[in-house]
Amino acid sequence: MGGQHGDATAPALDAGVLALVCRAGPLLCALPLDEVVETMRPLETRPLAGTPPYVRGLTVLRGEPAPVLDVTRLLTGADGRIERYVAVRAGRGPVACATGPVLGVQEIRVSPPEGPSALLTGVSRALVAGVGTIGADPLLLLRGFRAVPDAVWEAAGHAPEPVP
Amino acid sequence: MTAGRTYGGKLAVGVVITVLLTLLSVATAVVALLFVVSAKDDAIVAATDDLAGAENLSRTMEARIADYRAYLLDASADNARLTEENHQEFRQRLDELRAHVTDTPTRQALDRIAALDEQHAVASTEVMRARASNADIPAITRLNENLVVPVRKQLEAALADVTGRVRVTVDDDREAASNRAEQAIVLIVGLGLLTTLSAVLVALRLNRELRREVGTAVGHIQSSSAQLEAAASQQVNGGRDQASAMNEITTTISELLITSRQIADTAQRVSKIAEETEAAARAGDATIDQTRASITAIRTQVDQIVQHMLALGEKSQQIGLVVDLVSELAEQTNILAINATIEASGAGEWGRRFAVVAEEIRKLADRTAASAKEIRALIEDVRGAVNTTVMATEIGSKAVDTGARQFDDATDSFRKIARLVSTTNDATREIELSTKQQTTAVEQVNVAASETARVSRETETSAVQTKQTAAHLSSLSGDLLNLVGTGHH
Repeated sequence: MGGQHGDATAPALDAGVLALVCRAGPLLCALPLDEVVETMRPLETRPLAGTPPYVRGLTVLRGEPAPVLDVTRLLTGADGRIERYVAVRAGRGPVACATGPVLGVQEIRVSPPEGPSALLTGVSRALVAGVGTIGADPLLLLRGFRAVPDAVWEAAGHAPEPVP
Repeated sequence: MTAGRTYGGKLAVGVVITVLLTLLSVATAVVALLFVVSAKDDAIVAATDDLAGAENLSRTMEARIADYRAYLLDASADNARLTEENHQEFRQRLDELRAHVTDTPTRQALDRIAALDEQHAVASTEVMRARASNADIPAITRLNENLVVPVRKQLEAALADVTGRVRVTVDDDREAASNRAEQAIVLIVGLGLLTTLSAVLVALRLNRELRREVGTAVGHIQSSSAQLEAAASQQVNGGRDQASAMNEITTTISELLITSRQIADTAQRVSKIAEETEAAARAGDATIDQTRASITAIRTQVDQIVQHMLALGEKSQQIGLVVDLVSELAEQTNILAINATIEASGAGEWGRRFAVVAEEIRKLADRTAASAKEIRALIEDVRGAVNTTVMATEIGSKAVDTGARQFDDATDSFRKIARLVSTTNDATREIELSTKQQTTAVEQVNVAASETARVSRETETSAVQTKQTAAHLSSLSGDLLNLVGTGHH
């Protein structure tokens, strides 16, 4: 699988980005490697009331509570199989992204979401930093997990992020 | 008196009355005849004894007088003795006559004769004594004339009187006997007339009864004869129908006899077949035992197969556990390799080299996981195959059990069939025996039916004879009615 990233990446206007590629339902998503902390098996997750559907709940990452986002539900609106939690650095602390199987670390090339990603709205639009392909499958580069509601952060015990 | 009696009783009563009257007449005639005979005997006795006695008394008196006169002529002792003997004989006859005489005047006349005889004896004794002492005849004659002759004349007159009286008595007795005889004749004639009249009355009464009762009875006989003739005609027809029916029955029984014999033969064949079937069923027991042993061996083999398959399943599970462990290790290695890559990415040039190594490790882990997954799939296939085999084997085992049970059922059914065949054999023998008995019974029935047909024909013949006899009896009844004078009935 790792051998595919060299010749299967679509031509991009930007330079290549080293990212962790994983599957989210029918889509491929990539997380910038500088935001990724680690990967792990799905941990015990406690649901939270009053949160968006893509927030699975709270889990504990290395002794700290962290919200869990269902990337498949966030991107496709449908439920997918959860095989890995990927801890990423967010503004207020780590966030666990529940994804399908992790395909590996590779350099990807994506385009800004003016093309097909212009169709995205809301949280997805704010989350998707670029769009590319790996082979014949479309690839979404996710960046800056700010989609977590404040109530979730408050429930996780994190202080509100100062408005930039 | 004769009401309610039979004609024989009435006839007996009439005959008895007639016989009684006849006996009465005969008895009366006998009694009357006895009276007449008695009267005549009395008259004859009176005529013989009394009249003869009176005559003998006179004759003895005359003999005595002759002897007395002879003594007067010759005063001898013989004459005296003869005179005394005649005197004694006279007294004796007088006493006998007195004993016979019953009427009083004659008895008084005899008493007077006895008295005169005493006087005559005294006088004659005195004269004879005078004659004995004196030979003077004339004096003796005078003395005799004075003493003896008057008494002798009185005595002779008295004897004549007695003789006359006795004669009169004899005539009276004869007339009385004749009167009694006439009365008896009248009585007998009267009784005869009465008997004749009674017999005539009885005959008339019996004749009337005969005409009435016998006529009625003969009329009944005639009507009964007509009914009997009609019944005999019906009996003739019935006997004829019965004879024809009995012939049909005989024919049917003959056919039934043939059928019974066929049934008996068939039952015998069925009995033989049942015996052969029973023998074959007994011979099949050995085959059944061999088959049961084979089924038991199959069951044992199937059980061993199941045990082996279960052991294979357990081994597969153990392999699966090892594969799971390998898969777990591969997954852990994958995660560690990725995390190492992530960590190495921020560690500069050395980190990139380490990242390459970590990536290779991740690839190895992925290949290990893929192989483990394939092994897992193979193990699942093996387990599935084992499970399928175990299930199939268990199904086979159950099929063997079912087959064994079915074979047991079949064996039981087979043995039951054998027993039933044996029972059928017994029943068939009983049927054969019963059919033979039935055949014998049917033969007897056939003989009886033939006999009944013959009797029916004889009955028909007898009915014809009865009809003829009834007609003859009816004709005789008419003749009898004509004979008794009630032919108009």
